[in-house]
Amino acid sequence: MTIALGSEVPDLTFVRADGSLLTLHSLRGRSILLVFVRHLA
Amino acid sequence: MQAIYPELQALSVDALAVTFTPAVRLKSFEQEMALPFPIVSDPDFAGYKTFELGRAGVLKFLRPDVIWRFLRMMFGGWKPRMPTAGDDVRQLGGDFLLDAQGRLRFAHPSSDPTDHPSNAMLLEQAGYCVKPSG
Repeated sequence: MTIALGSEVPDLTFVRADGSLLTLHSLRGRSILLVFVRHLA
Repeated sequence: MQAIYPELQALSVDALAVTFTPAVRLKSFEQEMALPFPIVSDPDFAGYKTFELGRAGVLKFLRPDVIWRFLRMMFGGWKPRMPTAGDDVRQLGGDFLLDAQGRLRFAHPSSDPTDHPSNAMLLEQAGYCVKPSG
């Protein structure tokens, strides 16, 4: 994996269910568990 | 993972589920699953690419250990659904812990469709993630 442990994760932009955008960097300030899921089955 | 969410919260660790499913389909999924944490869409797979999450080959779905784990999930109440347009059933997932400064502290890219870190491992790593360093 390109991102080494301890390295800063680049910003990513996601889309909420209501269509609004959420950037990863806006979540800084608290630790976060990102769970990338397979197809919603 | 829902089972340990309260413990993660007690450690001051938030959770965010990311899917490539289009955002317009997330609302019904949220209501159906009653997830305690938000789920967001990554429609262009930018996050999946950033964390280099691969796609499972067809043979991985046919491995006895993978079939067995799928069966165990089904016996545990999981109901597989038919993929809809735009779904990529071969896309793999993964679990990643970021600290409050946005640094990667734990990475578990799935090696097959049923490969996930245990809840105990996630909680252990979450504890390390929030522990003050030096």
